[in-house]
Amino acid sequence: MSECIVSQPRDYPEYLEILRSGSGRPRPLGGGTDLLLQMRRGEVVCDHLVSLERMRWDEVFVEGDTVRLGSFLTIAALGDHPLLRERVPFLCEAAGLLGSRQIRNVATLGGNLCNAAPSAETAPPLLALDARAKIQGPDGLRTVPLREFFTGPGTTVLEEEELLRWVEFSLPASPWHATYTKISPRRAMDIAVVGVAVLLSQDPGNGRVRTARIALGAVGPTPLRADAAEALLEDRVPDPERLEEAARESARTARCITDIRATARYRIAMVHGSVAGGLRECWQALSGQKGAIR
Amino acid sequence: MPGLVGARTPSVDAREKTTGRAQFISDLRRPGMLWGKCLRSPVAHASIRGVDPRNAWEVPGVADVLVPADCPDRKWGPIVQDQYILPVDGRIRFAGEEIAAVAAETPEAAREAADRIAVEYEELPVLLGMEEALAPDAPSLHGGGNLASRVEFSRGDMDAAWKQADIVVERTFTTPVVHQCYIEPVACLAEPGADGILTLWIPAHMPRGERQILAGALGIEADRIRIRQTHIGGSFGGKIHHKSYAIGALLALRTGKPVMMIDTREEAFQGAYPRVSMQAKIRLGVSRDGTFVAKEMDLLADNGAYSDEGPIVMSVAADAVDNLYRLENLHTVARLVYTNKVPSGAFRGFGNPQTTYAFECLVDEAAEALGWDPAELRLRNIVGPDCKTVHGWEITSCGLRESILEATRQAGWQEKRGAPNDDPRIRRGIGMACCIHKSGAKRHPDFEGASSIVRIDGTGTVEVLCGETELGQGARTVWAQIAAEVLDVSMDRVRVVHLDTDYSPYGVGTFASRVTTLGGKAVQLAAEDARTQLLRAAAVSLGIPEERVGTAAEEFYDTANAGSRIGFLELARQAECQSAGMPVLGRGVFLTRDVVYADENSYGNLSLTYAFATHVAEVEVDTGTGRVRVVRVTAAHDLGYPVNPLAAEGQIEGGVVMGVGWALHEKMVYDGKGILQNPNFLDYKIPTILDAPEVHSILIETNDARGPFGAKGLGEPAIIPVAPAVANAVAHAMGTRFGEIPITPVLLWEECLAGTQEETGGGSCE
Repeated sequence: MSECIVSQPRDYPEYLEILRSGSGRPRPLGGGTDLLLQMRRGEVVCDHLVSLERMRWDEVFVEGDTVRLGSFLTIAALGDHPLLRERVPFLCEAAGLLGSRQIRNVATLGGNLCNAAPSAETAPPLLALDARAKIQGPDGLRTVPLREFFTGPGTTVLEEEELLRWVEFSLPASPWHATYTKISPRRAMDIAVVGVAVLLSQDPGNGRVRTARIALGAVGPTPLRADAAEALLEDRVPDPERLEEAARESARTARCITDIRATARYRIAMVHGSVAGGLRECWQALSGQKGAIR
Repeated sequence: MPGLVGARTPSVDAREKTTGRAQFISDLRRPGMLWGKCLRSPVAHASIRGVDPRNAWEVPGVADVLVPADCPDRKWGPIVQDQYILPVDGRIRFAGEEIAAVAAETPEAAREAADRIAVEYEELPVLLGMEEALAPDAPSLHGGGNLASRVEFSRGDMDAAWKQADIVVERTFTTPVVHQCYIEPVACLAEPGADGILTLWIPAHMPRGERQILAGALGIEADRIRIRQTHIGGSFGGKIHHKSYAIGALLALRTGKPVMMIDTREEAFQGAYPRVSMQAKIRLGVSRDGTFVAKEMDLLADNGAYSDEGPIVMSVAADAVDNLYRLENLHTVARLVYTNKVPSGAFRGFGNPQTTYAFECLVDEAAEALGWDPAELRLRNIVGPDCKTVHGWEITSCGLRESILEATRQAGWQEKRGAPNDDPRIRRGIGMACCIHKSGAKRHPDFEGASSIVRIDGTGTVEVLCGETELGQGARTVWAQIAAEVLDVSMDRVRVVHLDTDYSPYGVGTFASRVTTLGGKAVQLAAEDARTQLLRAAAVSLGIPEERVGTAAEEFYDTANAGSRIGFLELARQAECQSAGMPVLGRGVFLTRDVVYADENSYGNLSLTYAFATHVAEVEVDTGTGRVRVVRVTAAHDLGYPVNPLAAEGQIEGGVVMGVGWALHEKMVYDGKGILQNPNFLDYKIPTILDAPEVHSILIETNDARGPFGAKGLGEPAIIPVAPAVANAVAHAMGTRFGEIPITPVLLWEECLAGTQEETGGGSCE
């Protein structure tokens, strides 16, 4: 890592100004827990870090069923937020499983998403919540569904000069339950070999599944949704066999590779097991009317 | 003071370390100090066509660029001389090998300049597997084949023995390349003095021996080198030798300036002496009455590209575990193989953990075949006190039987071993393993022993000098306890001096769990000598015959007239005056006379005394994910006598957690081209505190007549039984055995669960 200057704009116009006037190769800096390692390994060459800290994009707004999370929200603040823990416990749980406490204290939601690791901890729960990315550009804000936000390992739809401003989602209108399952060799401070978020909501009238959302991390070039498996569940009262079939279908969706962390078939089995476990828990919570969020 | 030895005593440097004030070698700074950095090879095997340093010189602040042609054309190495300081022979043998080095005014400039050195390579075929490297047509890394060393020995009559075997069990076991992961990567400060003396601040374990080796490598006289030490941030065997000691010295000698070299974590993984990976094929014959009648072992050990401690590690692996049992008939062939990987070396246990893992797993398999309880089978075969083992080890004290009985009793072995395992999600298992390990070993050709000086000046300061190295294991605390106990003074008066070859006596070194035992005994003897001198001075001061001097805490008095007394401080002052300023100089010489090198047939008594242990591990296996959780380890250690029970428990807890890492998590992974894939703590997984089991330590006192206050070694035994105990517990839980560690979730799942889940349509992960 060679010499590097750090700027701290107070708002987006100032950010643009710095970008446009500054020399060298600037990079936006969140908590730096990924970027600084990438710089140290020589994977990212950068001589100008533009810290977004002073822009104070760290809000948590909950209005009715809509939740908005600023991109500079730290993972620790996300995981510990009392209202969020009540409304979206599985998202907070996922946040609490990222890295160590020290990492969570500085790592940001925006950084976790924009770094676009397939294993990003917050991606599966947010995908399961059908979240939308609000992107700030020179011409204003634009909205991209989170499932279209990731384009490959380490890449997103963000254009030059654009920043992720916030992430927003609407809570399901009918009773719902969701889980996040992380598979990793160690009990803490580890990267997910597989991360699975499952969300089911139920039509209180006919007792059927209204929405099923299954999101998979670390099993493809980007975090992804298992649409085919979801379709197997929606508008039905799924029996255990149907839940199992959806888990199998999810495993087929996964595009697993063998790497240093696991074999492809282990990952596939873990997707299967995690989805099955998640679906069973969600459906039990809904049909037992216990633990479901309404 | 009485009661100090045997008391739970916090580390003497706890305060300075926990407040961040302790100075480690990497904290040292000197006026005009330069920073050294190596250029390391990105390929595992190549001929060097050319090294062009010109671009490096363009970096501002560069003071020196060292290329192979600048280095002595002389091979060196601690045991086998098969390497150069830099590759003078134009050959690269592992990815991460040092090709050139730079000294510059800042670490950044040094890094950049090193990266700018242009090297042209011609890549050669890469040898990674041991069997592949031994193939007759394999390219030879050093000429004359890739066999670095070979040991073969036999005992008894194998043909007759196999006929007595009613049951034969056989398996091939493999252990991974794992790193010591000491918290402070190797740092070395080389400081050329105006007086022509080169001072090296290095964390070597055997400073005197290392000085000789480095002098040979550099082509200077050993008396031109002074080695000094300060706090060392752990080593576990990994810092015994290191290339940067020689490279830093050369850069300092060339520039005339102090040069600091500090490894990054990546460099530590890529370039520095991990545990020797082994493959042990073992066959064990057992008679129906449970007697181990025959053992055959074919051992392959991966030396890596050059010989560090590998040859001795392999010889320890070849024979150590045999001494645990009353074996009579055995045959062993062990081969150490050159491959295009990082040179491997010493790591806590020094070869013993690898084959103890293998054999202790096989013993369990034999018990299963016989239908015996594994504890019973061990009790049937173990060695006991006052015996000579199959390899001529002379056991004095031996608490092995007690360790098995206590560990199993306190762990609830009987009950848990027979408990029903009917939870489909979590399968529980309990397993055990034992070990024997040396407390000392011959390393110097002419003696085995230790010495110490205890010096008391007129201020009453008790300085303890010992030639063995404190690596963070607590030696200074133990020595201070011993000196204070013998001299009847408070711990605060004792100052254990950091090692300095100008002042410390010769030390054979820190290895083979010998520092408390031999170093401690030397300190005890030196303190006793100093005490004798104090008693003499007290007699003079009190004006009475020596035999009338009585002592109490920090006090000397006339036994015939208790009113006539002198305090320790005043006596220290008067003693100095009585001898014209000469401090009290206690000499401690501890020479062991019956310790030898093993002969060419691996026979001979290698150590002053031997320590024993039994670990019982309890695990839970998640059948959904294959993840093993070690819930509890009950660790019973015959350590002779616990000089400091607090430190002893710390050693055991550290050993257990490190052993769990080896058993379940850790492995250095190479790709097909020999490039290490995980030289960082993200992908190389040491256990976190959440992965650490509850550790229940049991200290068994056998009061060995030879060690200080009855003590024996503990540092290495603490890790040795962990992996086999865990592996045996996993086998108990799953009913399946496989001879490989680490038992990662993926491995366990592939071996035990993949098939069943395909049949049943999948498990569940919740």
